[in-house]
This record gives sequence, C-alpha cells and structure tokens, in this order.
Amino acid sequence: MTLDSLVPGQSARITYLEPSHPSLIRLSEMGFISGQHIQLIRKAPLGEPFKVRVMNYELCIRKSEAAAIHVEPVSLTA
Amino acid sequence: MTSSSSDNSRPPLVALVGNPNTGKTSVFNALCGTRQQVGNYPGVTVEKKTGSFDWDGQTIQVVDLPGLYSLNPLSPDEQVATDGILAHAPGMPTPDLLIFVADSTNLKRNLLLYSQIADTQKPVIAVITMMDLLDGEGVQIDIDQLGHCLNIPMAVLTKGDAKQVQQLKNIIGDALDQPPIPTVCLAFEPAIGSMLDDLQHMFPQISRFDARALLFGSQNVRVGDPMLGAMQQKVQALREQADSSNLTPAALVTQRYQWAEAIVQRVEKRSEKALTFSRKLDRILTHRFFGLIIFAAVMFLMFQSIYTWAVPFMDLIETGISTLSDVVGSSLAARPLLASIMVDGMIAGVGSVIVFLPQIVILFLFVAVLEDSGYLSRAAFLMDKLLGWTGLNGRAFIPMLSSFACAVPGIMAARVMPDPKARMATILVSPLMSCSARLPVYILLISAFIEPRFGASWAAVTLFAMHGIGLLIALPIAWILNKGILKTPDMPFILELPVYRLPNWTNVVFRAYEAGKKFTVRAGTVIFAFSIIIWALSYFPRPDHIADDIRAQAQSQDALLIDQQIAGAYLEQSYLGTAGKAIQPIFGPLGFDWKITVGILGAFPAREVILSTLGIIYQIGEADEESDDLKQRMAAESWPDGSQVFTPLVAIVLMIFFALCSQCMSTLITVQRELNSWKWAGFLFTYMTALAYLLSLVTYQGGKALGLG
Ligand SMILES: Nc1nc2c(ncn2[C@@H]2O[C@H](COP(=O)(O)OP(=O)(O)O)[C@@H](O)[C@H]2O)c(=O)[nH]1
Repeated sequence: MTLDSLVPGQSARITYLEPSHPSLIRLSEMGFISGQHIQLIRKAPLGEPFKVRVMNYELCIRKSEAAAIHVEPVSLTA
Repeated sequence: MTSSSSDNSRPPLVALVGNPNTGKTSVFNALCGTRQQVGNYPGVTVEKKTGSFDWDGQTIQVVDLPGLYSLNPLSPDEQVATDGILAHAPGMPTPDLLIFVADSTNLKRNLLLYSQIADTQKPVIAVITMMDLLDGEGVQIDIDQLGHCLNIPMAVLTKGDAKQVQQLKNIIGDALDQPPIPTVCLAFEPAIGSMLDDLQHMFPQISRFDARALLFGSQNVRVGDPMLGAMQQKVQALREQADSSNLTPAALVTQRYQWAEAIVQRVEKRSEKALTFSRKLDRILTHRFFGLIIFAAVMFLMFQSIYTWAVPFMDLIETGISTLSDVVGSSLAARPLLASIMVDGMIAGVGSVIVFLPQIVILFLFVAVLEDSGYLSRAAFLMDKLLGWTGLNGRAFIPMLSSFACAVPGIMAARVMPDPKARMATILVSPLMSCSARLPVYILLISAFIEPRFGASWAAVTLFAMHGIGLLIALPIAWILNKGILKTPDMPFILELPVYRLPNWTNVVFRAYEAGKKFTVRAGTVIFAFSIIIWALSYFPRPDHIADDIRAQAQSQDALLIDQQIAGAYLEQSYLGTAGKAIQPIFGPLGFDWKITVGILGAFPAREVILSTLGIIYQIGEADEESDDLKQRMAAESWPDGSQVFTPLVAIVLMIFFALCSQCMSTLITVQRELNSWKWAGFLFTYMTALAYLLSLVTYQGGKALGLG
C-alpha cells in the first residue's frame, strides 16, 4: 500500500519509492527512504495535502507525492 | 567584490550554509550585528545578505546564503545557495570558508546536505544551533563526538550567548589560516569510488564533485569547457555500469543517509517524549475545523490591521502632504506654472504613493512574524488545495489576501513563493483583488446611485460583490497564466513544517524596514517622473484667453466659482481632456461620456484620482467620496438628448471597470521592479484593462438588452 491510503495517525515503514516519480530524488533527500519510520499525521481540510512525520521532523506533501511512497503499516495507534 | 579568492587585497569571505530554518540568520546577526546590508543577487529576486565583523585586527566578510536542502537545487533560492557553495555565483567571490549551520534537533537530515558539501572538498566548519530545544524533544547530543566523526572544527551557538559568539569567531579566524578540508568520511560503496576514480584518472581536470555530478545526474555540472567527445563516451559507459549495479541517484541518497544514520547512532540519544508544545499547538492550528477558524481569524486580523491600524499614519502623511502643498503653493503663488508642477505634479504624485508606506510596513511586520514563527507554512498547508488546481500553491494565499488592502505590499509579499513562475503568476493576478483605493470609488457611486434607489441592503450586496469579482476572476486567470502562458512546471509541494518558535524580533523589524525603504526609494524616482508626465498632460496647453474669456463673461462675483470654472475649462482643453474626448467613442458602448472618459484617463496614476478629476470637470472644487456636491452634479449630468448619464446600470458598469482595470502606477512600477521587466508590467496593464473593458461592455449591453438602465 502507499502512504496516501494510511489513516491519519497511522504509522508505517517505508518499503520503497516509485522509481519513476519525478520528485524521487528530492523525496529521498527529504528523508523518504526505504526502512524509515513514517507517520501520516493528518490531512488538510480539503483532503490534501498531507502532514507527515519522517526522520523526526514534519513536512507536508501532496497526494501525488504520497502515492509514490510505498509503505507497510506497523501499528494502528494514533 | 568580483576578485577571486586568491586575491590577497580583499578581506576573507565566509559563507553561511545550511537547511532552511536552522538559525542561519540568527548566526549571521550574532556575528555581524548591525554591520549588514541586504541586496539582490544579479538577475534574481533572491535576497543577498552580507555583513562583516572584526577578528584579531582583520575584517572578515560574511554572506548568508539562502537555505537549501540539497545541492540538486529546485528553487532560485537553492540555486543561488548551490552556486555560492560551488563558487559559480554571479557577483560573488569564492568563499574562503563555508560555515555549515546544523539544527541539533534534526541532525540526520542536516547531515545529508553536509555529506554533499563535504564532497565538494571546500574548507568547512560547523555551527550547531537549537541546543536549547534538545531537552524538550527528549534528545541528547554528544557534540565532541560529532566533531570527532566529521573531523572539522565545530562550535555551538544558542541565541544570545556572547561567549559562544566569541568562540565561533575564534574558530572562524583560525580556520581561515588553516583551511579545514573535510575528509570524506562517507563510506560509499567501493564501486562508486572506483567509478569516480576511473573517470578522474582519465580526466584529471574534473573535481570529485563534478565527477559525481556527471555520473549521477545532478544538474550542476559545470566542467568548464564543453564536454569532450571522449569524456562523453566514458561518462555514458560508466553511467550504464552504474545503472546495472543499481547505483541510481536515489540509491546514492540512501547511501548518504546510511552514513548519516551511523553518525547519529553514535552521537544522539533520543527518548520517546510526550508531544512537545509545538506539536500540541500544531494539532489545533492545522485542525480541519479549528485550524480553519484560527486561520480565518489571523487573516482577518492582518487584513484589518492593514485597513485600520494604518489609517492614523496615512492621515498623518496626508496632512503632511497637504500642508506641504499649501506652503509650496502659497509661497510660489507668483509663479503659477512652477507652483502647479510642484503641487499638482510632484507633491500630489509622490504623495499619492507614499501614503501606502504605513500599509507596507504593517503587512511586512505581519508576514515576517508569520514566517519566522513557522505559521506561514501551516497557512500554506491549509490553503494549498484551494489554489492547487490553478497551478499555484498554498503560499500564494498571503500575497493575494494582502492585495485586498493594497496590491503593492501584496506583490512584494509574493517573495514567499520559491518557484519563479508561480510567483510571477501570483504577482500578475494579485492586482485583481479589490484594494482599498477602489473603495472611495465604490462608495461614491453606491451612495449616489444604488443606495437611494434600492436601499442599504442592496448597497451592501453591491459593495460585497465588487470585492468578490476580482477574486472570482483571479483564479481562472492564474490557471490560464500557469498552464497556457508561463507553462509553470508542476512543482512538487514538499514543504517543511518547522517547529513553532518565537520570532526573532531583530529580523522582523529589519525586514519591515527594508521593505519600506525599497518602496520609498521607488516613490522618489520612477513614480516622481511619471507624476510629472501626467501632470503636464493635464496642464498644457494653457492659452491665456480661456481664463480671460471666462472672467469676462462671468455673471457672478464669486471668485471661487470662477476659479473652478477656469480649472474645468483648462482641463477640458488640456492634452488629457482632448484625448478623453477623442477616445470617448471607445468608451461609449460602456455608457461612459467624455467626462467619465477623462476621469478614467486621469486616474492612470491612482484610481482614487478619478474623484478629484471629476470634481474639476464638474467644477465643484475639492471632491471626495463624501461630497454631496459631486453626487448631485453627477446625478444631474445628461446626454445631449436629455437622458441621464449616470443610471444605476452605468454606476455598476463603472464600478466593474474600476474593480478590474489596472489604474495604479504604483502597482505597475512595483511589478516592474519585482519581475525586473517592463514587458510584464505592460502585460498586466493590458490584460487588466482589456478584461475591465470587456466585462463592462458585456454588463452594459446585457443590462440594456434586459431593459435596465
Ligand atoms: N530556541 C532557539 N531558537 C533559535 C535558535 N536559533 C534561531 N532560532 C529561531 O529559529 C527561527 C529560524 O531562525 P533563522 O535564523 O531565521 O533561520 P534561517 O532560516 O536558517 O535563517 C527563528 O525564529 C529564530 O528566532 C536557537 O539556538 N534556539
């Protein structure tokens, strides 16, 4: 599954990034690399963008980027 | 400032580099104090902060490069910073030392950039900031161990600690004598190393960094001479080799992070803490309900403050200007031409612009506080979806909203947008927002022609509609600009949400001061020149016989009335008046007579000027939106066939015209300055005027067809 299908509050581990995504390198540089712990904190009022926690800091990305980040959920606690 | 680093005559230059929000500017301020200037890098609107400090009897220059996440730049800010680090920056000598500023609470991601910088093999030292926040985050860091791992001199700097500042200066001074070249402690896979060796062995002129860029696809390859055929072949072959061993650019990033991870494990202890204050606060401020309410409240406060807090200061300036006009006017009474050029040209022209200064300063105080505290990126988060479809992003919200008070500070606030094309689109639609200078026009027309006939509720609805129409049109225009004309690339919206912090008040005040200064200088130069041109067009030619005729025929002895008649007659036969009459047929289909047309032409410098122009044409002397005289005269105006000029329909059409047209010299000149292009300023004027004309035409003709008017 991909990051955009997590429930807000849910944590996961990144498995891989879509290799053909145009922002692949920047996403990796911002800390989205496989094995990293990641949390979808919340979605903006209109459903997008997403507030995400990775490498102990927070950032926001749009659905199109989130959909390129493949994850495996690790817990359901908020 | 263009000498090279080998030039001994120039003081040494150190450059601050680091991720955004790591406290670079605070380090810069700590080092330089007030010995600093803000300028621009040539050709881009990226701010260039330079300063200096004295150490051991010598002057050391400091440049604060914009924040960046990586040496693969995505925005003009990052491009300038990358160029500064790699010594390609225009108008800036090669720094003799880089000062890497790292946020201790976010070490791992900061180290990614460090690893790229270390690859350039430039001399570098590190400053670790935000140490005071570590406790709250439940983090401990062993600074000595970190210095040991990176093997470069290292300082810590927590806000306001004078001893630490002195230590940092000592480290910088020492490092300038003995440049600390970072040992590349990146344990990249030997495969990459041997490929780089291979390339460098064949072409010794390429640096390690350029070799890496050539093979792993960074956009910053500048090897000097055009790539030789042989080199191209070799690079191609090595790239294929890299791909087949899965050494892609993204894989390299992963490797860098593995290196960073290893260091972090050695120097950092992190205990899972309860939510920090900042994260608790953020839960509310980005909440889908309360977040929006608070956002609306913040924006309302900002808007309100530009609207109302500025008023006393604006009144003060206006009083000052009119006093100055009176003094100059009466002391030059013997020389009417000179008096007019000074009073009606220079003082009135520059004055009509300078009165926006309080709004600009207040808006910039707000924007600086919002940005420095970390709220601006939350606002962008909340608003992104609303603007995303037009090709803009959440950051465009502040400039657009500010433009409801005044487009000039709004356009300047578009600097918060990193992408140059999205910024350009924002600048080009912001003037469509209904600014406070349109308000007097609306109020005059509504109170004269809407309220008496349709009542107060419809008056309010009309006023509201006039404010909505610009916003409604701005979004599709932004879409057309982005998708069709500028071809704005679909930029990823990857935005860090930094921890909330108290703003740095020095920064805040300094930024408002800089914005105000720039604006004032502009008012004194270009706007000054334009004012004189417009004045001349409305003054000349001025044959004596017109005044003589009016005096001779005057029936009343009222000197004031006669003066008003003379002023009106002179305006009518001035170049401006003649032009108004000549092009009235163009405005005829909108229901405007030649007097309104002259009013529109004369309002080119500033919309509200239409009131005083109409006042002169209708010969009632000084006019503003409250003048009952002006309202009565307008209501009494009739076409030659006896029908009324100002029907409610014409009033509405005129308001629509003013809502959309670009009658504001300050706006055009600000656009020219910000985009560094007269072409785009001309484009703005053309498209807004065309839009205003078309919509007014449709409204008037449609209204007439429906039997209104
Ligand atoms: N608590 C704390 N805040 C800091 C420190 N250094 C800077 N700040 C704050 O962090 C924010 C960003 O700092 P700034 O110098 O503008 O960072 P820049 O974007 O890297 O130039 C500002 O609100 C500063 O007041 C520090 O050592 N401790």
